[in-house]
Amino acid sequence: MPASTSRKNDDPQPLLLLGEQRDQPRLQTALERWKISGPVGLVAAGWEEDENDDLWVRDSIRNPVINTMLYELADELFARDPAVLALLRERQDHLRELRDVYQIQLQHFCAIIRGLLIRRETQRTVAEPLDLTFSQLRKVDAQYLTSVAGVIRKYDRELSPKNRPSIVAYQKVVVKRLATCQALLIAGGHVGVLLNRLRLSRLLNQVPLPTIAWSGGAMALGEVIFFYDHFHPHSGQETELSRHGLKCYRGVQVFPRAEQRLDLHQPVEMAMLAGRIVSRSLVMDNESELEWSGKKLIHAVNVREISADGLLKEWRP
Amino acid sequence: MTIPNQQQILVASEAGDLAVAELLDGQSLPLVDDDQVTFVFYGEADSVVLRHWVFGLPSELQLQRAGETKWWTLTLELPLRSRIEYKFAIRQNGHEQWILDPQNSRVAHDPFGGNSVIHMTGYDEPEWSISQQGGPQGTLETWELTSSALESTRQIRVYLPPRYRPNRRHRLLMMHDGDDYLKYSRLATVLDNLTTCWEIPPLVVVLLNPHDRLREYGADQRHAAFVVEELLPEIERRYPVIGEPAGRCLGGASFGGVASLATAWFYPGVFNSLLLQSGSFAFTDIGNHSRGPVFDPVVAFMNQFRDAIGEPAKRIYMSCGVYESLIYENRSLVPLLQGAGIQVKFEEARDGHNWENWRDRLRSGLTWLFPVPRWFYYE
Repeated sequence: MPASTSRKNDDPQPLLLLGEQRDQPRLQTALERWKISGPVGLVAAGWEEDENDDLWVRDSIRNPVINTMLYELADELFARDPAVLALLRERQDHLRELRDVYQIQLQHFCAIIRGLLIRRETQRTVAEPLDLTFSQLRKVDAQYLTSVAGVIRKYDRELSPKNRPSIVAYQKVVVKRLATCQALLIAGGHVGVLLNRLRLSRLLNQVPLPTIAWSGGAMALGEVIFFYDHFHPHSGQETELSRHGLKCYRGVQVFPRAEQRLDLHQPVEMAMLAGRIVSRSLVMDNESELEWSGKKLIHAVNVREISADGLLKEWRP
Repeated sequence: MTIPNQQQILVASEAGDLAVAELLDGQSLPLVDDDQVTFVFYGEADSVVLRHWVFGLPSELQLQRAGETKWWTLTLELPLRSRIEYKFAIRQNGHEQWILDPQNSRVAHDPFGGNSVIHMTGYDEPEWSISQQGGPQGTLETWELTSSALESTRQIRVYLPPRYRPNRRHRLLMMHDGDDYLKYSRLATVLDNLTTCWEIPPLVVVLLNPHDRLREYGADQRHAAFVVEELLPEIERRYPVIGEPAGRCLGGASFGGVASLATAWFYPGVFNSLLLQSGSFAFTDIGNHSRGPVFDPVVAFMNQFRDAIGEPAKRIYMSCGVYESLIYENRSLVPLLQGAGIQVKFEEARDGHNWENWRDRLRSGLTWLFPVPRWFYYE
């Protein structure tokens, strides 16, 4: 697929989601497939102070790499306009309060569902209560998502990122840095930090480019963001919704780093995950690929779907 | 391969030493089969005794000679997932010598030497405690600080983590018996691994080492003054750490646990969190204790502390082995701390009072005390 030269905001750009890249990068193959040989922009803001640790990306592709340094630029913005940082911190405190309550709800609903799923094989009477509880949990998730979105909207109104001179200046620097780029690479890291910097910079709206995103980067571009870790050292940490993503793709919920993060061989845990999600739940590992052309999902490699019974099966669009 | 039991060894011994050797050929010794362990010793002796550090079992357990051979065996039932340290006491001609089990290559080291180790079924050495080839490593710095409180010069070692950034403020962990934690609990490896996989944030870790351990760590006000009034300001001057209680944790094991708790109690509001492993929290409700004179100041402190807990910290992680005599003191402390409004996480392990038990609990303790960047990071 050739690189788009258009900069119209409503032109859907090609999008490729990949699994973890650092150990076995596949970026070069993807760029060649898209016939992109010019400079590419890199967003690694999820790695915070380490965003310039990008040598492995530069080594793995032949294209010149321009690191946007979104995280560092935002730090400079906060120094110039401390009120922005103060508002974002206030927003964070507000979101933390919402999350505390949400987690109490999650603990209880997940405990009930887990108990019912364990009995599903042996007790015929479980199906209806299980459906009911899943439906209630989905409502809790949806309500939380709405509340979080409300808080974010409230602070967006105060921040006014399209009009506030300091933020507009920040956005302009980012646009300028990407002026010669033919594609955008979005790395993982701290998904919340990455998402905040992408939203603040309005990068995807202002500089629409064919995009390759991996792991946490792929999560940030989805409809909603889930945090998950079945191997968390302290049991009781349930998979939780975080907030809306950037909605660059729809209809699937991706779970990168599945082998490291999900107990793939425990159908009860996997069924708990799939039952909460309206979209298709897709697990991604190192060699996974999902490609969109415009709004159409056209290509999937090494992607498995979690079925309602918690089992995994190969998935094709 | 089928694991032979003591009865089969005894039967084989009727045919002599060689028949037992053939039966045991290729077996990993001691023989562990679910919750049964059979100790095996081969050699000249008048008697062979299992010396172990499992509080609750008889302190002297005799191995039985297999017929007329030089083989000696003993079968015990031990709970699954246990980890046990032991030696053999060989008695011959009126002399007794304690030795490692010559047939068991698994040895745990400590400041007093080493012990042989059994891993019962279900116990696995944690992967995160094993050095990863080529993985990122922290660095160690050593410098000296002259202490007025202790009237001596102390060597201070500081671990700086992978991803240490001088322009970023780090959380601070101060560990008593720091060099022993490095050497016997692989603290640096554990920190490297947990930091690298985002289970804990990059920590600056100060490693304290005593000169006169039992005195200094036995709830000694001079030690507390050294830590809080002399060392802490120097650390905060030299390193980019969060200079607030919320960023500080103090920890240690055994008497190091007492030193941590006592220091935090003498100076409330300095440390937000404590890591207390197998703390020697001996106390009396009435009368005298029977743990020997080194415990006198500890018991005096603990009695005082239990009467007026105050708020030495907001969050305390405690762990203790169920095969330690100290398990009762540790268990009894938990509700007192919780009753004082302190958030406590207490974990028990089927292990004893030793450095590998403390190593094995580090992940749980550190990730609870320093939560949890990993949740948000997806590489």
